[in-house]
Amino acid sequence: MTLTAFRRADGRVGIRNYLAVIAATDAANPVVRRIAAAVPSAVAITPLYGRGQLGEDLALSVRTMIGLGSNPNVYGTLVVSLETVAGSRVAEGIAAKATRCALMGIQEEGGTPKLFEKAVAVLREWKREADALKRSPIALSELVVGLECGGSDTTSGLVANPAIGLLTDRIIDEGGTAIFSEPVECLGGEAALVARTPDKAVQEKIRATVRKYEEIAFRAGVDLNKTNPAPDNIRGGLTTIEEKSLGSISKAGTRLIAGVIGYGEAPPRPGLYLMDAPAPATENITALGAGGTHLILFGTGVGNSIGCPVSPTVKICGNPLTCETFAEHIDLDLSDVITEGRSLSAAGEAVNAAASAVINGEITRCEALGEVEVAISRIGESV
Amino acid sequence: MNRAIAPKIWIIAPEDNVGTVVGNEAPARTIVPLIGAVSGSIELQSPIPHGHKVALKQLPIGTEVVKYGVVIGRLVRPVGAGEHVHTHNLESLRGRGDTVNAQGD
Repeated sequence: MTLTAFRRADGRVGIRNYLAVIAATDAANPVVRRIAAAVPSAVAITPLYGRGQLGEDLALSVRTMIGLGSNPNVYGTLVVSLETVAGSRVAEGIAAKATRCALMGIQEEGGTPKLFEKAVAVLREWKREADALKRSPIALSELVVGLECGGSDTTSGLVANPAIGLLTDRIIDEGGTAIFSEPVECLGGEAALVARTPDKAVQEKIRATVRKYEEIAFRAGVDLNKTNPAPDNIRGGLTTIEEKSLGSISKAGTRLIAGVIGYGEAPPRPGLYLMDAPAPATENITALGAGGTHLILFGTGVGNSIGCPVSPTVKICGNPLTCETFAEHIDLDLSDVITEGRSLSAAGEAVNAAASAVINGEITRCEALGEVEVAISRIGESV
Repeated sequence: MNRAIAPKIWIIAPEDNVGTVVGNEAPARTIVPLIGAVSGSIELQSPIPHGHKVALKQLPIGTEVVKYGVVIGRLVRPVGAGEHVHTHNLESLRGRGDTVNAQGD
């Protein structure tokens, strides 16, 4: 299938023309939600906090907001903050990535009703410009694909994730880029991952990134398995983090792992990367979207409804019960692998077809329902 | 599931000592066919829900449970062939901050 997208001035491609409205400080969250609701194709990005942060924690928040606002699927981003100094560090970063950007402060605009009117006028003008853009053919190698799983059960590791892994291999073979994350869900599968690079430094980075999450449980003095697998995973038959991990990593396919990247960072070159970010779905897909993913392939078992506001999130499921009872949230039903004995390679082809349709403009369930959210990790305390 | 889907036990790797029941919940005493890496059948000793694991042979306490050809934990109770394997008898070996000190030894 021919893939099409919108070509940006700097050569990047976007599969959507979202208008992003970012609350750089949380006092702006309510007005940002009202602005986004007033303009079609606008998405609200309303993380909490944004004031009283410092050091690495502040850097991570700002980097993630910049990454979300400059995701290639975004045509223009409006940054709103209580006062414009906090917003400017985000807006300047977005403008530097050649995404259209404007900044408004609630104090400077004389309150939220006035800001709302001005913001909606700006977004409507951007929408007029974006609506005039045409899609043109692109290569798979121009895309960055995020890999996620959530609401996992044992079918995730039997069907959805390995089927996604077949497309991951194809993306890497064609010179594209894919990012898998959730290092805690590599615990028990490190040997297989490390064997996928001859580079000793990358091997050690993989081991250290996974170990970091095990050490969080050691420091807390608790059994990590009381948190992950989560109650829904356990109901779905997953017993231990090792079992969940081995199913989870199958979505990353089998090819060479090029490197490890930090939370919300963009891959430096094409290839397959492990991103260091916590596993809970909203927090993880926020990091993937900030890393510039064009779309996210999201394997689920018992069902998970959430998606990324800037990166269409394709829900792929192999559990026949979930595909029946949770159908409004499932983009691709692969349950015939279980019910009819359909082959995994046929399921992989179906993942490719579904991903291609979404790249070319087909709206995902998350987009249609508005089930999109962000959660930026906090790695330090507020003061 | 509204549709009747005959239960099967999916074996991922030949060295696995557990399989995954897929399809409708299988009642005790059902003989369920194995699919995937191993062929044959096994008689279930307890009802096993869709997606849950079953022991493929008798496994003494302390046995490392293998799925995907990789260790996924250790048995804290003995399990007979055809019995349910889950949180009541299988424990993780990783992230055990409850049993390991902060240095990770």
